[in-house]
Amino acid sequence: MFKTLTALTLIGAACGLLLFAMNGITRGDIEKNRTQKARAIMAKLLKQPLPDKIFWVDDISGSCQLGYFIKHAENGYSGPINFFALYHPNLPDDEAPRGKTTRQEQLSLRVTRHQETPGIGDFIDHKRNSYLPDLDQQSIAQWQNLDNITGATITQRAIKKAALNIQTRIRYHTEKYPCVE
Amino acid sequence: MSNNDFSRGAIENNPAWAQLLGLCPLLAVSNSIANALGLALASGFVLLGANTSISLLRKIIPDVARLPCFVLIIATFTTVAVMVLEAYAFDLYTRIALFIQIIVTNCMILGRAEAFASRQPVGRAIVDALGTATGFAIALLALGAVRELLGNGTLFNDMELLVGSLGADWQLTIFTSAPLPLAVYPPGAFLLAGLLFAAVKALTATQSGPTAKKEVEKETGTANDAVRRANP
Repeated sequence: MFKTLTALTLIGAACGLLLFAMNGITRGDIEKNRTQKARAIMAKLLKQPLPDKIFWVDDISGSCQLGYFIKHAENGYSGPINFFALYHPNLPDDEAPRGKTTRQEQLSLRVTRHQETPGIGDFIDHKRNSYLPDLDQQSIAQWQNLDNITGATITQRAIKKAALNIQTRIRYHTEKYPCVE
Repeated sequence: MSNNDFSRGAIENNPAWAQLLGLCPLLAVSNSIANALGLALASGFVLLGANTSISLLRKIIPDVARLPCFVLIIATFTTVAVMVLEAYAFDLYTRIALFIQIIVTNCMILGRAEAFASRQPVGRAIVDALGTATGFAIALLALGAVRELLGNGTLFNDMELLVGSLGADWQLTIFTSAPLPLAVYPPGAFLLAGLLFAAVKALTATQSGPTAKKEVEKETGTANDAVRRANP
């Protein structure tokens, strides 16, 4: 028994050390790749170039005039789905950006990571399918009307829940950091 | 000895067409040569790492807990493969990530660990891993090439995902329109894999000639005898 436990501990420790070392070697490049991917999605959603530095608070960035970028994760049917969202909250007339009438709330979603079966859930990948881009700038109420998504991981329930939770997170965020022009 | 270990893993006991192991990633990822090569390299890396480690540790791996140990070692090398791909071939990673992660459950790798690496010295385990990985890569690349050619009309498309800017000019356009678009979809994968495996079987049977025929007859006779004995 003692011999078995010792052997298991040694093997576990060796595997852990290898992973720790590899994490140290690859972490920088992985982070860089993920950031580049996120920035490309953000620039496309916003339809304008991004500033060099973006500041995140609780995985939320932006302002009520420009719109908020949100990194969000929601549980799908068999695994997590990571979203990147651009949310424009409702704005009264006097808070709308000059020359613009961004008054209706709008939510655009992109899926950045998922464990959906390739070939079945490809429609959710904005690079392969225009399904999500076609739903851009819809209100939360419109997102709740989704009724045609069935995948092993990605379900309409997960997307509806993501839309609602994103709205809730922005509400908390704007309570903490009120809109200032 | 080593040559036998290599050719047995690569040809006679090929994990794909002889043992039908690892078919899930094989069918799912082989829709292009670039994807197939990415999975073949990752699977080969995990197989080589797992076989080598398990053979080196075979005297300290407790027999009662050998399967958890094998899975732990295979999972470690799979995670390393995932990290390396995500760091250095990010676009390819985003396309085949799911199937890289499930290498850990690939019966081919666990099978070689249990049947070979845990009982043989490290040299033979490495040769066996190289042979099996080569066999899996041959099956993946053959299926990937046929599917890409029929489904897209091209060969070596998107190779830059794997080898960087060097592979940007490698694409060969053989047909301007795809002769069989079904080939890149899952049903096409099943059909073409079935035809490919049948072709390999037929080729092997032709090369073996009368010996193989006699073996089949012998096996059929033995089976028939067994049936007769069971139902006199």
